[in-house]
Amino acid sequence: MDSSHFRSLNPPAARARFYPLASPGRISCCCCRSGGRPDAGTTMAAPNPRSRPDSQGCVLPLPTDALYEILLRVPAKDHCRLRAVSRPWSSLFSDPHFITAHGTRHQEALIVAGYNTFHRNDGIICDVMDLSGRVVKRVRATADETGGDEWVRSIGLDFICTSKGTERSFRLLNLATGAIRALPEGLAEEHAMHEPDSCHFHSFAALGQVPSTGQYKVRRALHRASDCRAVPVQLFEVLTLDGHARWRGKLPPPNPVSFGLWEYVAINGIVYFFSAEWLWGTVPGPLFRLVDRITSFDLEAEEWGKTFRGPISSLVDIPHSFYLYYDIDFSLSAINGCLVVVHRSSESRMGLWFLMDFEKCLWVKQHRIQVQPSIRGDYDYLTIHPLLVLNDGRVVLLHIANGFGWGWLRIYNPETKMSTDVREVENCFAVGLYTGSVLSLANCAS
Amino acid sequence: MASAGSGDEKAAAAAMITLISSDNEKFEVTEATATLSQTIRHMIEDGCTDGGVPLPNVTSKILARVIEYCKKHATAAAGEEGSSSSFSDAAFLEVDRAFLEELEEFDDAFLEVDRATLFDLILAANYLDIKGLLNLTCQKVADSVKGKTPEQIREMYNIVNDLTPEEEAEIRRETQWAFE
Repeated sequence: MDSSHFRSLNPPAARARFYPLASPGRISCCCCRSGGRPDAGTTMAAPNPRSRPDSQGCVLPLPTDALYEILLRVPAKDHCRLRAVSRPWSSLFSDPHFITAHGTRHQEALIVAGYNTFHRNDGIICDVMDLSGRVVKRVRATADETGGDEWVRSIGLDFICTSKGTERSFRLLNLATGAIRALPEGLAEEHAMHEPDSCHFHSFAALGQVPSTGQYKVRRALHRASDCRAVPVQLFEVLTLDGHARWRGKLPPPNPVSFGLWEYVAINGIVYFFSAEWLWGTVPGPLFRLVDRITSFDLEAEEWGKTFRGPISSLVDIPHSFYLYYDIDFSLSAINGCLVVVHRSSESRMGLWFLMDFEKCLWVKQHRIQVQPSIRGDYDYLTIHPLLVLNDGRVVLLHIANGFGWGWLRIYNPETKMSTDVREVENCFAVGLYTGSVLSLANCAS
Repeated sequence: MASAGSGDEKAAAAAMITLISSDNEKFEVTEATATLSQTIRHMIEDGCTDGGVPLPNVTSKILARVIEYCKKHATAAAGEEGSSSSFSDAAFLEVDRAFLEELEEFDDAFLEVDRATLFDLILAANYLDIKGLLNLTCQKVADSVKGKTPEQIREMYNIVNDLTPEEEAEIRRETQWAFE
């Protein structure tokens, strides 16, 4: 697709010329590299020396800067193939100026779908695809001495966060550079003294960026379901991605938080969770919880913020009887930089509630989605995770239909109430957006 | 083509610039037409257009096409300036839209040239720094390589593959999924 969905973000004057052409003498000629013609292009008075295809038909008779102008207009999805045309083409696609200029011109929405290598034999851990469903980059699991499967836990800020071998072994992969960083496994000092053994914990991680400093921080949570009739044990730790990354223990919030799929999200340096006031059932197993409460953790101050009401309980003062099982009717998403509660009110209907004002706790239902009844799949696992609202109001969403992460990336059109399939996915357990340049993606080693 | 707007009173009243092609043909154009080229605009601003502007990189055949483009688009630019003062006039906008459509048709027809001419136009647009023309011509080439294999592109544009077999294999391995 072209830049039409993001036209407003794309200042027309932002493109800087790479090779200014104030005089003909500055035209550099890429054909000289292989054609052996001695620098004809720099003779100022020479009448149009490069304008005809070479009689031997040996090279594209265009100087590098004209090639630059042409390839700048070719969408990124074609670049990977075009790198194999010739050396000037290949080197242009690796040129940082070109990558920047191309990124400014073609700002595309790219979706990252994260997988689990346990279910696949090709070692692919994530695909980056455009809104036509075309995969523009495939990333393989990290190959190193530690064996075991690797699976994507979360996607954000152009990183994927995986677990490799064990759930506690987190890695961050920078999609733009290909750099991989393994995070320490052991507990923070503050926690290690009380909890000598961390292997009974489920662990979850969320990457965020502190807006004021640009620092990346990971907030890790460890959760141990306790024996029946007791509140679970939850530990919270923060790590700053710098030279001396180590986990620092943090106090827990007043109530436990929930860690289901799509139940926490990081936006602008704040991690939002559903706060789970655990209430318990008569049998061990899934606990009841008070739904629709949200709490936040500020990555800059490394403190818990206030717990506030979600959209449904803000509208109606719902009494205590409004308990639900630990179910999938509510989820959180970050759409266009805004915290969104996704509320599925029935099998086929869902509303996207945008938090418009954090202080006043003002929620607005900006989008409604009707799920087509024709969708096959297992209702228990049905997950619809909205990712992005396009300028024309269509909603890009991931629709997972069974417990093996099988489903589709689709685009929902609210006018026709129909979805179009972008791509079928399998083993997809995480999804996010890639906002960097496609070209730098394409250049990173896979 | 060689002289601008005889019979066009506005053009006749405007300042004229002489452009000289590589094969020494002289073209007289209005300043409004010539200044679509940033290169020439700067020369006019620097006051060095007396006695004509020599363009040693552009043949008369190509210069004639470039001027044809500039004349058409200079008229369009003048129309846009006019429209900003009376944009509420629906009738005017209607006319404007018709004109824009006409301009698009003109551009499409303008691009119906052989590959060598197209490349010459790109070089001239680049050298003369005419943004609209550069965009139009480069987009045409860019569209022609979309969805093509490296082999097809090499054949279309007579490009010698100067990558070593190892380099090409490496690129294809890195981006294998793009070839699938």
